[in-house]
Amino acid sequence: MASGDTLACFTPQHNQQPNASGATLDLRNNRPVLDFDPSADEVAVFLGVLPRNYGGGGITIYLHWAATSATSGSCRWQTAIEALSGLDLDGDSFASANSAGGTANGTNGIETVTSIAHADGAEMDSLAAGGAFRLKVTRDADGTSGTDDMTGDAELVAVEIKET
Amino acid sequence: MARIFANAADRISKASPEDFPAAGGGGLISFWFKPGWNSGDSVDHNFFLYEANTLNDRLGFQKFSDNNIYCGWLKVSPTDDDRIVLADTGLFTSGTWAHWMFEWNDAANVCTLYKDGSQLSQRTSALVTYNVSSNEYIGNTSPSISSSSCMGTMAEYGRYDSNLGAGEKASLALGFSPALVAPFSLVEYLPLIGRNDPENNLLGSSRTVAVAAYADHPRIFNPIGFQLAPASAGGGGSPAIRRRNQVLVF
Repeated sequence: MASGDTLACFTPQHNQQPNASGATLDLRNNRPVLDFDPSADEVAVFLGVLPRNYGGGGITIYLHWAATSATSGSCRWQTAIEALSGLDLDGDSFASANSAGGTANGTNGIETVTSIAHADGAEMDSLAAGGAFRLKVTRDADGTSGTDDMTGDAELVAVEIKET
Repeated sequence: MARIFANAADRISKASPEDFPAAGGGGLISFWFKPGWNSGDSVDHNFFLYEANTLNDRLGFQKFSDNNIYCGWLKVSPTDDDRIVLADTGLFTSGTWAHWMFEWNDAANVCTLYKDGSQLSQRTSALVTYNVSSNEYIGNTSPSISSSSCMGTMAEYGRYDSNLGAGEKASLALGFSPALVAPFSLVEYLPLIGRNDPENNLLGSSRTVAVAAYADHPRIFNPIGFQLAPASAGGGGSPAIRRRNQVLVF
């Protein structure tokens, strides 16, 4: 697989809701979305397998989201990878998160696509082709990693993982 | 394909249903229902009933012949009932799906009834719940109560062993499968797809089926790749959903 090719896609119904602080399933015009709160960090978790034809480079995660009501402001996102190979399922072991901000569209129903790159190696938890993994997507609502001043929920519509 | 409970004997049942919250705990029951009748018909209609060893200590939900809704904990002495009593003023419309939830919290002394995600009624009292682990009836209730009749179509019956957040309750009412909403608290999930016999419980043992008919299912958003495999297709039905740490496995 060459750089720039899609490795995986996730939608809200792929989310494995965590025990606490989970993003909430909602509908917007009959489209499932995951609502992320503006005042407390909330999380969605997706399970996948990295395709066998992954070329060994870094990945870029594209978050397709829209604001529930805001038409301005920045929404801060974090993504983290956990490789399941050799990992006891009874424990969690996400690599350190990377982060980026995206600006709400002037029309709140129009999506913004925020991209977050992870270099091959530690930032991908040493995930290899054919390996099962979990992707954790967090709205960093309390602004630990950068400014989040967008009011209202952020609605995550879809996630794409692309080989960088 | 949802289940039609049309005749007095039509029910889904289970002796000793597993994982029912003990006294002192909390829980929530969620399901979709499409009645074959309208409010004000002065007929008993039952939806679910959980019995304790003492028949009169029960958890139930019914629209009674006096055209009131009774939902909650029914005790040996009716004066001690911890149940919601609500006048049924147009809450049921023949042929129209609605989502219903009953939630209780013994420690907080509160039980609440919801329709389509909105709170209809709440009772706050010295709530006393019982160990209702003797028999479970969905649709028509106990065979010993011959006067009751569900007369409607039911689907997506989910039972939780804890209370849910407001957002999670809203998700259920929007049509998301219980498998997608707080799965870590889900202890019983009967899709009531209609052709499975016994009925799949995706989180435990199957239920006994005494229902002949089925009809269109409500619109439900299921987990991606989630396909129910009826026993009749071979293989003994769908695998159970399990949660290990934070990972869903089949």
